[in-house]
Amino acid sequence: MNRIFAEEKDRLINTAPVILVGNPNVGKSALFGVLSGRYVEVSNYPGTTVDYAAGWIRIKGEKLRLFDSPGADSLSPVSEDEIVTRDLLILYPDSKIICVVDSKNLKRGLVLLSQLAEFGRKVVLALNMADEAKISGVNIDTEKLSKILGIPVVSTVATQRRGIERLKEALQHAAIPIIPVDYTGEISNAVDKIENRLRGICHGARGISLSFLSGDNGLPAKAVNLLSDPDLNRIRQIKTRLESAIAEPLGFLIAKRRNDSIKSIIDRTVDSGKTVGQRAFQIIGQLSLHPLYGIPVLISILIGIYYFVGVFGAQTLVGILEENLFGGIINPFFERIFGLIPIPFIRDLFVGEYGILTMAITYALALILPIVTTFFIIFGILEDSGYLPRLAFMVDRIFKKIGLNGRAVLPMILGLGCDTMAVLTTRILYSRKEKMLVTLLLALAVPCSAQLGVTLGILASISLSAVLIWLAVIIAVIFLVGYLASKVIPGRSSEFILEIPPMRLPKIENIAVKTLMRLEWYLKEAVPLFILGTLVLFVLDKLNILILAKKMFAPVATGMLGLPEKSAEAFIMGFLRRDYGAAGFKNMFDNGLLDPVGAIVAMVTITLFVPCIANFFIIIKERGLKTALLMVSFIIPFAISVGAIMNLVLRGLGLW
Amino acid sequence: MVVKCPVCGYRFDSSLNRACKSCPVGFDCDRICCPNCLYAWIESTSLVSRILNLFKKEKVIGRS
Repeated sequence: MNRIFAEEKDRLINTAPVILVGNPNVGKSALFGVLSGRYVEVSNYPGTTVDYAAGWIRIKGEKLRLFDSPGADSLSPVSEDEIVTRDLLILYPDSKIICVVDSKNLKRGLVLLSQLAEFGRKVVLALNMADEAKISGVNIDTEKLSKILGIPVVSTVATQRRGIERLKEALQHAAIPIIPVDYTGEISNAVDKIENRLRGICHGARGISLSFLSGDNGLPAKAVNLLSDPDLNRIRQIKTRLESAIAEPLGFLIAKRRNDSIKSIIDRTVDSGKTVGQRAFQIIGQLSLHPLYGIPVLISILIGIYYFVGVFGAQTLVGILEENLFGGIINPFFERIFGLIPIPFIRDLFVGEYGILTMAITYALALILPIVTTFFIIFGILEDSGYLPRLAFMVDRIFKKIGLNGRAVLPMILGLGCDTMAVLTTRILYSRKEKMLVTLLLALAVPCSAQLGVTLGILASISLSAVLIWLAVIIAVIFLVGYLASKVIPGRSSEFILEIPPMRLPKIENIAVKTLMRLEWYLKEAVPLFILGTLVLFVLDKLNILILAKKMFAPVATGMLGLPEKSAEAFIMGFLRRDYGAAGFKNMFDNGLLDPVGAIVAMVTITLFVPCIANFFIIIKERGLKTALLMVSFIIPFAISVGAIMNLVLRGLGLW
Repeated sequence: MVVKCPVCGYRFDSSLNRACKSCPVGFDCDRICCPNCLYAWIESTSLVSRILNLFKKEKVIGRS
């Protein structure tokens, strides 16, 4: 009896199974539960910690093995889950696939489906969560979709067991999806060459070729075992040659071609039933990519930043925190407490002119925190709405007009995220000269998001025209240096590859989480540097070096820049972080030590300074100590010269 | 964790691309870095993640 049972089990196990494949969180496990009944085995995939469920499905009296693969967005694997899903497909070449997609997000599912087509697999498409799609106003023409793809398409609601029988029925008509993707040129040739070597060795040669070219995880183990050493080496050479011939990551280019094909299918079969707000955002998205209409969109965003960061953050919130909370309650309290300590050195260290509490903590929490919080909220909105890629696209276009190649533009856009990391981007540039110039440009004129927020906030607390003057000068410097760079380094032109997502209404919870995370990072990174900067000033003051520095800097500060001697302190702080230096100037402006012209001159000069100590270190790391010192020795006089010209022009014009 | 770059749309495994690996300052700043365009951003931080976990009603078990 047991022997008969074992033979039956072997027969079933050797039958071509049905595999559920789908993106994460599309209700795949719920569908598996409904299709398989109660019996579920959960196993670890060999050599991994990823588990997959196995059960049985009965179709017209025939019992078939059913596997629930781990959620995957791609068969060009970047995660262990995706590797397991790809390898399951290779392990069972004759299996039929139920590709489960979220009806609300068909595009994501069709990306996976197009890869199943490349693997040559017979598929049925299950449009799951059809009820939620209907509520969201998404209507999919399933008949038309089925005709275009050449496979059965079934709407399902797994949690309500809807569409299950039709899905089982459709499995008998599973077919290879028709999604023609035009990979063109070098990629297409490389795919053909690898495919030829894999054909006859393993099923799904085209899919494996594309997966190998676009992923970082090599060929599947089965293919490696079956290929001869020369063939294996040849395949690896094809990939290496293609990578050196094409500057952008292959995975990204391949994914982009797939997306282009899928977009045309979506356009023909999906009515997204967008609300008025969503439609408005879609129009804004289209306008923001337009060479002319994109400019008013950008100006509107800048005005929004001005009011939210500059007026609300830098004036209202800073007023409440700096004057009322810290100035009126917290600092007087600590001054009284530390006043009890009879040692002046300790007292000054915490609550003196350069005290950790009265200067570093007050600047960090009362002056900068409200400004960066409001700026991070805006930055989160820009990120979540899909505007950032559009901004990058616009800047890229403008820079190309002045002849700067696409690769040199990239680090400058990215500098808005973090200058230190952007310096690393210069590794993708070709010549040493090119790398040097872009590093210099980054250090000189591109503020990171936190520094941009603080500078804009402080300038906005003076006036809108102060913001515009500062912006015009910084953009002029970037263009001037960029133009000179294009003359010195013609370079070979290369494309800046971007996926432009649809413009969408940002989600409040996403913005809240992003803002909190950025704030945590900012406090962890900036506050220790603020304390360090304050300690440097404290020590210099105690050793009477600060007075000397102020006296030495006086001809520059008062003579050239029209600033008070005390501004030497802000410049010392600015070398640690530009925003800390900017906060020093803000404090001087609030206390009447700076007039509006002085404040603008100071902000322009500090913006053109080296962004932060981390940036200086990475310049040393990437370009060497000698180059780093040379750059700093150019940046500081250049920043002061621009500041001096600004001082002359603004005072000459008598605007304030 | 597979993430998508907010600037260029490239998908990659964030655990392999911590920005701090290349940072000369060398401390963990929670930033991750896109291998396509090198845009660096914060995807999760320990403190905020812990706070968010407090608000989650139940731990979800399962893959999809």
